[in-house]
Amino acid sequence: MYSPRLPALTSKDARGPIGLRRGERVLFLLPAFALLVPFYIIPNVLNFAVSLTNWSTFASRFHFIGLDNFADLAATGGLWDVIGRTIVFAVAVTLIENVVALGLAVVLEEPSRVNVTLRAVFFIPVLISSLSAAYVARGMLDPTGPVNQAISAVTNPLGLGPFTFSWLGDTNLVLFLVAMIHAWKWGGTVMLIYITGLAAVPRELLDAGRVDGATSWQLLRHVKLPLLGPALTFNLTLSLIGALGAFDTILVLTHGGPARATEVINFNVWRLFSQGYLGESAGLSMVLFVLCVLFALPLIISLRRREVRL
Amino acid sequence: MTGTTERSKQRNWQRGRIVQYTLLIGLAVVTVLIPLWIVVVNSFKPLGEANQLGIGLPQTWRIIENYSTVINEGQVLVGLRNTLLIAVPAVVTLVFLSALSAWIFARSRGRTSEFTYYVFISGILIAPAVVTTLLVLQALGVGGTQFGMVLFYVGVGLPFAVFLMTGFIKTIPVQFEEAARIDGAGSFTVFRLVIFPMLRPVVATTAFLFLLNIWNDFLYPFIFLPGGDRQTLTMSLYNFVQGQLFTINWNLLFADVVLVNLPLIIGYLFVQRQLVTGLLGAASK
Repeated sequence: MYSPRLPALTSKDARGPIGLRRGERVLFLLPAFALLVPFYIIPNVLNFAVSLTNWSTFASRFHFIGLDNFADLAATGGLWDVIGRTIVFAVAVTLIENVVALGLAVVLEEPSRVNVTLRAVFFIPVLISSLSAAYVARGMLDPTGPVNQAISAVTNPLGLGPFTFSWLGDTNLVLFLVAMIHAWKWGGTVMLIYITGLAAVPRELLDAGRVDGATSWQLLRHVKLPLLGPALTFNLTLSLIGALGAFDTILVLTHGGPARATEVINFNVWRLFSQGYLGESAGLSMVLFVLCVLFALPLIISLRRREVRL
Repeated sequence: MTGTTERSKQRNWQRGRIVQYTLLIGLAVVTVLIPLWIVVVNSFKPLGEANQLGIGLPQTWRIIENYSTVINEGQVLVGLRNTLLIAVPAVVTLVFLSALSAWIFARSRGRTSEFTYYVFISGILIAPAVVTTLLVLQALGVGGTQFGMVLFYVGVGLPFAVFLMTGFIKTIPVQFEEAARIDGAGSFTVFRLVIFPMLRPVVATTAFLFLLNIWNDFLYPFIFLPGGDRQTLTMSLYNFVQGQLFTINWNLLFADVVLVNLPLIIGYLFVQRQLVTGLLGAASK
């Protein structure tokens, strides 16, 4: 939505913009900060401290041990493998989600009746919990489940016998399958945000392009996509962050297996926590924190620079 | 000459449309509608039939038996009560506090407020730290309670909610507020009577997104809440499946999935239209 630049009368007012006094501003922000501090700022600062201790549910007292938790995680917990897997998973999810969702958004942009219905259908997976989505996916991919039944309908008549491949038991395939399921679950939101972004492209620009004889592909490539910058930044960041923190899907689908092939950071944070290794669990949370910041900040900054401003 | 090329162009375009929609509908059917159908139809079957995970209609119908078993043994009503006790107060508080804060951020200029805003929304990037959040909950005396979960969800949800709302408020011209000021309204009155009513689409979107998030969340209640009569709806689903040792009874599992997710699917039908308008702030700011 475009709002015209406002006259100067608001900016240099003695009471600040639109008459909010300084005291009032602080007062109105206070309730939000009263919840932000204990649940966002304190846990994350404290987490850093806890990750440097040997705290666990079975030791009566705990003390400072420096970076030993990280050394332990690297030595016995396969820290680097876990980080690598998490990154591969997150990048795969982000790519699948955004490519498919952008494609769908482009073809479903016009709010015709068919399109609105199709949008709603593609949005259904977003509405169900990722726990439920994982159970459904597990049913679909069962060795004798619907996916293999469909394949068997082809292989049986060819004399190849029933197809009973264990999709989630294949260590090479499983991480990408889980990534696809995660993308299937969340892609609807991404699609909706791209549709919103496309709808926000000013009609005048498209009309001007049409008058100049641009084809619909050219309009898409040279007018709409460049103006989709903010939506792109938002979607890439959010799908990446969401995928870095994946947990429910993995717990239900594979429980980190087979042979640790789907052990990503957040799954291990929970596993260490439930086994009582609180210091190590906090350490792994720190790793996730650092990864989120390392990935998201450069992404946001570089994308923001490229954004075309209206 | 031009007439015929125009017509063949038109025909090509129509043919393209038909191919495009065939593919789209095919994709929707294969990736969403068939899985959905399999879930629903198998939740109506007896155990032996459902465990074949077939696509056909039940030979024997077991609707009432399956669903009443799940409601009783799966503790669906306990879960529903707790999820509502957590989600409703959390969403209401979240919407109100984030709107108020976002209004301040959207209408303030200067280094301090900009810095504060970025501290605020940086929370979008960071997943809650479970171990220390548990400590905070216990220190506040709300460990393992529904009220503790409400406070937690509001605290961790604020960054994203404020981000969505700030983008939207910036698109509202200040003149409306100035008019109210001239009529002598105080700041909170301006917020309550001028700003908040105009936030309708973004409030609906934010409320729905967070209802969805909290309703469907599993990790945090799983860690912060004890089971039993404090479990949420998603926890009840997980515990029910875990309770069936070694095997999965697909008919009951799918019936539970239907029960747990149906309320939000129905709710979505009511907010579908507003959702797109409300996301505008996120997609264009």
